[in-house]
Amino acid sequence: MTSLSSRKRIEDVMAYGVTGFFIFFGLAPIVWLVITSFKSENEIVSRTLTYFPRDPILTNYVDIWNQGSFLTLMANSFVTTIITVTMCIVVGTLASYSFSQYRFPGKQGLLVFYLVVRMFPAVLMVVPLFLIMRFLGLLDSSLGLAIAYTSFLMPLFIWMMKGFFDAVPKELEKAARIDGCTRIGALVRVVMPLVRNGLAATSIFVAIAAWNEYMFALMLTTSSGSRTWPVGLQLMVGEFQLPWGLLAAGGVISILPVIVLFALVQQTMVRGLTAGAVKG
Amino acid sequence: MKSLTLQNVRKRFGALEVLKGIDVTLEEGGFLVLLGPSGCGKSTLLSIIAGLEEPSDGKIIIGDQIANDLHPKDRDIAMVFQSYALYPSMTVRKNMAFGLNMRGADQKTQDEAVDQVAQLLDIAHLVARRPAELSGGQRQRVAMGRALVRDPGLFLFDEPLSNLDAMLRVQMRSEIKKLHNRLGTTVVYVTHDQVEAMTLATSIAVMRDGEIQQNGPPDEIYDRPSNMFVAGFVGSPRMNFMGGNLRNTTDGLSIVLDAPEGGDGQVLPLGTPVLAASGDGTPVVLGIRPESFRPAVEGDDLRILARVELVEFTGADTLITYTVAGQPVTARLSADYRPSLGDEVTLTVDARRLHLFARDSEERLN
Amino acid sequence: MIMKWLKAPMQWLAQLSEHRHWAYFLIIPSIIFICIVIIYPTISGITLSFREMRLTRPDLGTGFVGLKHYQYMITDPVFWIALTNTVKWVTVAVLMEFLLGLGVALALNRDLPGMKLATVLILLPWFLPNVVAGNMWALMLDPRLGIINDVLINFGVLTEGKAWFADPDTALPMAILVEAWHGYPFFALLFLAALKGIPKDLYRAAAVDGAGPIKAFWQITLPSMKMVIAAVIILRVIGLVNSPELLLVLTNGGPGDATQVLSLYAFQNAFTSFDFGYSGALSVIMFLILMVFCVIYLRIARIRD
Repeated sequence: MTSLSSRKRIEDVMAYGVTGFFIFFGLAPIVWLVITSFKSENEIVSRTLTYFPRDPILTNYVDIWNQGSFLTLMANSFVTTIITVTMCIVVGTLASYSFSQYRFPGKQGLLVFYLVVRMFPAVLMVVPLFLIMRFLGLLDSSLGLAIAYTSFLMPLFIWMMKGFFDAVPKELEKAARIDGCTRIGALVRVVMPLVRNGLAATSIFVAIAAWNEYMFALMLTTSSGSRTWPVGLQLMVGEFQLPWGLLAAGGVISILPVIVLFALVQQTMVRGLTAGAVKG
Repeated sequence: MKSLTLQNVRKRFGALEVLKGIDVTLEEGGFLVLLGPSGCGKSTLLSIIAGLEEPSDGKIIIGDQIANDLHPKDRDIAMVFQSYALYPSMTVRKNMAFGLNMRGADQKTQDEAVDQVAQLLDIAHLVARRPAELSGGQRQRVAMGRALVRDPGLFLFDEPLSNLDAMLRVQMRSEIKKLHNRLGTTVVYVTHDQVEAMTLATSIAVMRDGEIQQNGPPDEIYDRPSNMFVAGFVGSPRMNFMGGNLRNTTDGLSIVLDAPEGGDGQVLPLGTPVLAASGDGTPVVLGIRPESFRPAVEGDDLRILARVELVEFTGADTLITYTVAGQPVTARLSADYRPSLGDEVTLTVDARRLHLFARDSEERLN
Repeated sequence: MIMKWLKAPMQWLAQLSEHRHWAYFLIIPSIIFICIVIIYPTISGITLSFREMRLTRPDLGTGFVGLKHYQYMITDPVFWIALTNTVKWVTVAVLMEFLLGLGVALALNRDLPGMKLATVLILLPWFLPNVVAGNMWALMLDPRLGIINDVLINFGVLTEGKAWFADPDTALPMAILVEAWHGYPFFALLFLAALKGIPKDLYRAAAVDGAGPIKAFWQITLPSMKMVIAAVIILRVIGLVNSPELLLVLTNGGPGDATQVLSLYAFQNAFTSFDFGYSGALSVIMFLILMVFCVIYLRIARIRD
């Protein structure tokens, strides 16, 4: 009879093995990207493949920055992301607070409605949004793009924030009101400080989604005036036969903020993502 | 039914020693209660008996077999968990038959066993339901049923009644006792509730900080606690403790209670010296259970001066908190006795109901 | 100064918050937003599918043409290819992501030292943009420059670099692999949360009852996760059907139509061919198929419960 502890040890070893495999599987492409970004063009296209750059160079980074007017692209992405996140926070926080703390008729139906709305295909809305934006003169503008982003990111924002608000005891608002606050006073003074971490994590989650987004940006921006970096980068690949080294460098620069932000809030973000799903 | 023997069982978690050498013998059909406060190690000990955890040292002998290397499923045991641990996606019937199912019993055997036990526990009408549809008491019975169906040699209970409300707890307690009387099963039962321990056990092992303080039948635990911890843990309201010194003179043995301001207070003659060997002046603690007091009458030698501080009428008795030698002392007296606050009264106690403990070691002296 | 200027609106807001229907007031802005930016475009998109609108052919006007696009669709071979590809794409990708995600979650659930860091690293592919991921894998799978070909050649599996995305037989499978790499963390994350919610006592009871690890997995772990599994699968199916991004970056439907899927085809019709009407029709059909699937799926999921 295998004793309990030896079986546990076997399972632990297997777990480590699986984890190791997935770390490799998940990270290898990213690591390869970083390595490639430091290789010179000759090295990349040479007949024999090198696993580590023989002469690591930084010119890829310099070139992509200048050549692709990468700064403009990143700035545009940044502006769009900020606007998106701001809109989500202002409108979404209020809504998710209401869904979380108050009971009212139609609440369940509305929640389902928000969920269902996320199911609508982007491609179905693409053309009408394009036409609307063109009509409003918002085409090729960061604001227009941000509005489009908020449309499909806000339900997600509300859903995640609701989870964080749920963790706040409902008696707190009552206690605050007895102490003399108005409802909104209680919300701002008492509840919001408690969900600070959740708000940061959810906002960063939305920011990452907006930063990474490609399809809507492709449709709704036409010139370098408001073009975001994913579109810019992909354009360089398609139209200008971008050398792999520069492409890799561009990729690394662009995903660096994502990785940093993700690492910062991943624990809270994971909690928020899973809280609603497991219960529902 | 199997017997259980534990020899020098120890358990360490890193540097922390949770079980410090446990020795227990439980005969077939006996009902052993592991009683103690949280953190004393009783649940860990139960897990070790079950085989869910390994001891750092020591032997576990179930029946006549050393069980240390045996997987839980090969130890011929069944366990009832505090949270019941019913499989939520299975019906009651499937839950109860699970163990038999795992051992390859055929459907007919499973069904018969389940039906028999369900009848015994009065849950036959629930066998098609899922755990989520049952009340707390019903779930508890299903958990017990799952254990009974296996017909094992040893039953393990881990605080099974803690999640029930007070009335259900009392009811289920009697049912467990009736079942034990009827089936003669060997049981190890963990609880922190001393009433459960007293009513259910054939022997109680009082545990504290990983050690057994005293192991014996309930009346022995109650009437002759071996140290102050056991004395104070079992019995409600709690035993009263008063500090003092022994005086062993030609007049006989007596206790000089500490006076509130220091120095000597009341003197209580103990009559026939019960501990001849103890020296004069030994610091002791006198223990008296609340129900041992009665108002003193003419002819009582042992007289305790007390002052009424609080009177609580429970319906069945009167609980009175007195001040004796500056210390609060609780007595349980007849419901007819209603003193007034501030009364100065005299109480007495039967000398056989006195418990003496050494003040430093807290061990029993008499 | 600013405070004074803000005082009146803030007081108004404070008073408003005491209103009986304050709960509704809080959600009204978001509802308005959704109506304007989602509901209206969706309805508009549906009506668009019944109209002719080709930016490159203004002479055709923008009048109603009834079911013209839908009729054309039935005879359009690319539509049918895209449909079958969509089914293949979604089914295989979800299956792979399910298995990978479950494996990861089971391993990470053991809570061994180092697992916290491992969790972060393993989740990373999900948060990387499709643009970067697509090009990364394109480079790795490149026939001349790709590291994967290099490794395979060294191990003797291939004799020369294979152009995975140029061969119609291997393009879709490879794209599915890339998607599986991108999507498994979604499953892993939610499965891990579900696993952590299973009370440990159930496993102890099963150990006493005699269930080995495999039986415990089938009898306890999976049934306890049923709801989460169903939810995650349908969320991912919806996501995969609706979003053409990865394929857009990776293959753009090629070679030929080997990796053409409905969402991508609709997108291409809109922004390469500028045939908005047909694109709308394709989107509507895709949406309908998705809805039918969801309804059937939910029915089955409810019955099994």
